[in-house]
Amino acid sequence: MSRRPIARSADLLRLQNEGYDLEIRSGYLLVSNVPYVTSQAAVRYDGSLISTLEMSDDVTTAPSDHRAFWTGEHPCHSDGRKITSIENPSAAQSFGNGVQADFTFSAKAQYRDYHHKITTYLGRITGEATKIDPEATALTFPAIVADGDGEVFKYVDTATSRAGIGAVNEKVAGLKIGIIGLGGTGSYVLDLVVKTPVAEIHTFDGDVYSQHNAFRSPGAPGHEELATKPKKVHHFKAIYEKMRHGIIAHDVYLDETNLHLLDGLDFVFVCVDRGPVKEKLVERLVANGLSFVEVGMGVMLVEGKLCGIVRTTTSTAETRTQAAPHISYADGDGGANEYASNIQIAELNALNAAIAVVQWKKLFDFYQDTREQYYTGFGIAAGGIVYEGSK
Amino acid sequence: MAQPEERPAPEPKTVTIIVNGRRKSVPKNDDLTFAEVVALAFENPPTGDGVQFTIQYTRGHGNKPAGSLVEGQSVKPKEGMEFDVTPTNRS
Repeated sequence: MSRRPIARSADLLRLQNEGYDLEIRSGYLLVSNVPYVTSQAAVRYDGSLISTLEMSDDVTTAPSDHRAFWTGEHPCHSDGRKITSIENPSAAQSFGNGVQADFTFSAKAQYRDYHHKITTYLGRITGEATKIDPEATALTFPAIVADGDGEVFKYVDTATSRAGIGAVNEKVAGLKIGIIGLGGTGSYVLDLVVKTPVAEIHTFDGDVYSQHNAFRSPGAPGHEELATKPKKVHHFKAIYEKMRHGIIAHDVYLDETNLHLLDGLDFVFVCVDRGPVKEKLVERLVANGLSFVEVGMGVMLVEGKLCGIVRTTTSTAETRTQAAPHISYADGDGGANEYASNIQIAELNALNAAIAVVQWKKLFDFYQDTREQYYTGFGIAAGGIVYEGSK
Repeated sequence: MAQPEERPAPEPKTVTIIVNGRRKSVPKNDDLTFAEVVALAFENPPTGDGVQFTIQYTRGHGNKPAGSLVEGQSVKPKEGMEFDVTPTNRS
């Protein structure tokens, strides 16, 4: 079964986006899980409406066949009388591949497109069911399994098709992305990047996913899972591979010995605390001519309330020099001085990650970018985003 | 009885700025350097390897009311100007 005609045909896509359980099988269009009324005046929820499908190069043309077919008992009015206005005397027939027409319907009209045709038939059939069960609906929003090889998602990205921004989304398709560090911010970066059609997401972290991590990363693990002391890269891969392919977990801390793992990537998110390590890997990214985003926050307790900065630095071939002094090489312990703090809060991690992902998408023309920001800093107390840009 | 001669109030030579949520008084007409802002934020600023601060400000002068400072840069203070000063290495 191919979903290609659905993606390419405005009328089918509209039906899918509205939530109908749509399928193309044996060249027929099937709408499943349709509620209808039986001759006992009871509601069943498992009818299938079937239509022939006329296409040109995988795009629908106007339907010339006004008939439709049905799998199930013959649909009735809410009082159990057969809906005779659509009744057709044809015998039951099989169209192959499990497509079974128990009944044929005939409601003559000039159908503009398949959306018009399907919703006209369903209006008559399910409309009777809603008189008995007001909650009955054919809009079941089924999960749509992706078809074919080379798909990164295991089910279709209907958020993008519903929004009609497929062409924009395509701009990040096929990229190989690195996320260095799966701490609070890196894990939220991953949560956002997995939902884009990039080809590969390489995660780097040698750390164990511990109890405190659960309070500043997406999702909510049970204590049984924490007890197994999973590595961060494996914990997150297990979550996100339910949705997509192409997550490559590197259970390592990056250092001089393994920086070659960064070679071949198209873009990198630098989400590590340790300054000396960061220097080495930034050198490598610059040598590779890569654009990257580096994140970091500093949060302090002042007079019983938290304040500080959530910062994102964006370094590209054009903004290298201006970006460089904004990259934090402060060390993890801050020199073990009295001001050292490791305060991180999930919403600040998530905000830092969201800004980082927006910056990445700007570089790939997903978002408009009028300022070429290399510094983006959210000041918690004042609540504003301060930026420095080269435009 | 002769009234004392009225004099205009002397123009204040300082402005109050806010650094990490705390009010600080600084000379009005001198530019604030990166190091001076760090010193205002921390009584004993740490030094040495592994120390680096991020500074950003808002409510500054009209030509550039918001921005950042890196080492070597300075900015003219303004009454009510707000500074955030912190290492930003946590992720």
